[in-house]
Amino acid sequence: MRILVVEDDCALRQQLCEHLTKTGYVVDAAGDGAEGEYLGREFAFDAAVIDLGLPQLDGLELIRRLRQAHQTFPIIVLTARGHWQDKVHGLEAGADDYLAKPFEMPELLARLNALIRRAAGFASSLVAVGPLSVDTRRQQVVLHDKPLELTAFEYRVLEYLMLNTERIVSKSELTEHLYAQDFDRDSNVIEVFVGRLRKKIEPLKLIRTVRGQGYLVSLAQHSSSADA
Amino acid sequence: MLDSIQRRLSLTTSLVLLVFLTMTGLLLDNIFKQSVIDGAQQQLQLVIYSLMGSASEDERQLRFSDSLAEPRLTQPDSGLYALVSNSRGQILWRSRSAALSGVAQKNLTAFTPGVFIFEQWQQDKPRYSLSHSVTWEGLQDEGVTFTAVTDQEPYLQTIATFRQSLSFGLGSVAVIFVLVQFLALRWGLTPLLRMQKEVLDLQRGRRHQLSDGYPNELQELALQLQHFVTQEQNQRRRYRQALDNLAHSLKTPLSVISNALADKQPSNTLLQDQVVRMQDVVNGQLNRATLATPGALGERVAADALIRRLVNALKTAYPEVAIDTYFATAVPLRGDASDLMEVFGNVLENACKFCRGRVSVHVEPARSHDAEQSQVCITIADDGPGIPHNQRRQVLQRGQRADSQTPGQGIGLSVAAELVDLYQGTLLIEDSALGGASISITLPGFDAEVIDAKH
Repeated sequence: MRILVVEDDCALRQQLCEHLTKTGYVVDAAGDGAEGEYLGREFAFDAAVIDLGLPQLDGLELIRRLRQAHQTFPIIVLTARGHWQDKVHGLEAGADDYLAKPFEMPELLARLNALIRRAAGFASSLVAVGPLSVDTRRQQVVLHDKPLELTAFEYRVLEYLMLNTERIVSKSELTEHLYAQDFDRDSNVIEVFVGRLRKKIEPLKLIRTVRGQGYLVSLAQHSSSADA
Repeated sequence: MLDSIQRRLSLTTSLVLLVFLTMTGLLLDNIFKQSVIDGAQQQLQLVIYSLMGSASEDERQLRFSDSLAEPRLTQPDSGLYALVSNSRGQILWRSRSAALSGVAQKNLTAFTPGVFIFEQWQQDKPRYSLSHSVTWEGLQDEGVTFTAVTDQEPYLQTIATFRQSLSFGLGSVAVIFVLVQFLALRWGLTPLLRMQKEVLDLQRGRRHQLSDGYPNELQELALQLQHFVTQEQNQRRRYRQALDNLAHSLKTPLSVISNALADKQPSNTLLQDQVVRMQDVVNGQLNRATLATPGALGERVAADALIRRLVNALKTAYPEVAIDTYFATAVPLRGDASDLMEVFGNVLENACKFCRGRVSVHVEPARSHDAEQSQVCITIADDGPGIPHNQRRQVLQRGQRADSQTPGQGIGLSVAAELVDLYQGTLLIEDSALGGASISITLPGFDAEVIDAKH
C-alpha cells in the first residue's frame, strides 16, 4: 500500500514515515502543499495523510485540487487547530476522515487501515475470499481456519490483491503500490513473490494470471478452475 | 430624581420659570392696581373742581346750581357722591345721589386747607374718598371742605378682570414654555440617547461600531469610544489568535514527543503521563480560551443548516453510522457560528464514536420558564452504551474524561457544556429511546423584538 504524507513539520513527517513504513506501507512524503500536489497527481496512492496548515498550498486547497484531478484515494486530514469549522471544511473539501493533533500513532494507523479497507468496499477489517481471509488490522492470514505464516512482503502482496478482488491488477500497479519510488520496475521480483504466495495457499487456485495484463483474485475463477 | 440630565435641566428651568412668572405677575398686578386707584383719584379730583366751579356765594352762604357738570351726582346709586361741609364738620350740601344713598359725612380729621386727602372709606360699601379744604372768603364760616366719594366696586372689578387675564396670559406662557423646553431637551438629548442605545448594542454584539453624525459636542466622545471599542475588539481577536497559534504550535511537537515516547522500550510512564497532561491542557484549556466569545452573542445562525453541514461531514467520516435528522422549528439560534459548530460537532462526534450504528438529531422549539424568549432544543441521541448516572456530572466538568481509553470523550462534552453555559443555555444528559445516551441542548433563539421590548 502506498501512502502520501504531506506534513510541514520535519520531526512529525519523519515519525509518520517511520511508523507507516514499519507497518508495511510504502510512503512518499512532501513538506509543502505544492510538492504534495505534484506527488498526488503523479503517483497512484492508496491513501494520503494531509496536514491542513501547509506552506505554499494549504491543505484544504491541496485536497480540492487532488479531488478535481480525479484522485479518489481516501484522505485523512490532520488538524492542529482542532476546531470543528476546520474539520468540517476538510471533510467538505473532499477528505474522508480527520484527526486532531496531538494524536497517537496507533489511532492514525487504525483510521488509515479502515479508510483503505472502506475504499476497497469492505465494511470490516476481515477481508475474505472463499476459505482465505485476511485480517488487515492484525495483519494475519487464515486459510481454512488455520493461521498462515507469510513474510511481510508476501502479506502486502496478498493484502493488495485481496482488497482488489475481481479486478485485474497489473504487475506495474503492484510494483507502484508496494515499492518505493526508486525501485527497479523491470525486475521480476513480483513474479517470484506471487509464485511463493500461490504455493503457500495451495491447493487454492485463487490468484490467476491474466496473460499480458496482470493478476486477478476471483472466487468465480477459483470455481471455474475447480471445474476444469 | 436627579440621576437624569433631562430631569435636572427640567427642574432647574421650571423653578426659574416659576419664580420669574410669579414676580412678573405680582409686579404687573401692583402697577395696574396703582394706576387704577390713581385714575379714581383723578376722577374724584375732577368732580371736586367742577363742584367748586358750580358753587356761588349768596348771603354769606354757598349755593350750588342744579345743573351740575357731572350728571352722575344727581342719580341715586350712581356710585359717585359729593359732600360739602364746613370747618366744624357740618354738612352744607349733599349731592342728590349722596342724599338718596345715605352717604354721610365722615368724621373729619383736621381742617388743613389746600390739601387733597385721598382715603379708603368703609361705609356699608368700600369707597374711595377725596377731600379738599379751601378757605372761601366772604362766607360766614370761611373753611369749606369738598369731598367726592366713589364706590370701589367698578375699580376692583377692573383690577379683578385684569388679574384674570394676567394669570391666563402668564399661565399660557408657562405651559408653552414648559412644552418647548421639553421638546428642546428631547431634541438636544437625542444624540446622547442614541449613543446610549448604540453602546448597549455594541456590548451585546448587535453592532460592531458606532454610527456617524453625532453633534459637535459628542463627536469627539463618539470617536474616542469607537476607538476604544475597536481597540478592545482587536485586542480580543489578537488574544484569541495568539492563544490559537500557541495551541496550534504546541500540538505538533506534542504529537512527536508522545509518539516517540510510545515507541521507547522500556516505556517511560512518568514522561508519558506528563505528556498526556500537557495534551489535556492544550486540548482543554487552550481550546476553550480561544472559543469563549461572550462579546459577540448576536449573530443569527440557522440551526438546521449548521446541523445538516455537520451531519454531512460526519457521514463521510463515519459512513457506517446512520444519522437521522428531524427539524421541527425554523427559529434561528443566537450566537457565533463557529462556537455553535463546536458544541454540536463535539456532541455529534461523541454520538458517532460510541453508537452501534444509529444516531438521531431532533431540533425542536422550546419555551423558557418566563415564556418570553423562544428557545431551541437540540437533542442528539445514540444507541451506544450510554453514560452511567454516576459519571454524568463528572463528564461535564472541565477536562474530565469518563474513559481514559478513548481520548476526547470527556473533553468534547465538557467543552460543549461550557459553551452552552456561556450562551445561557442548558445541557442535559439522559437515556435515549434508542438505548444509549441522549444529550439535550437548549439554546436561546433569535427573536430581536422580544429582546428590544424587554429593554
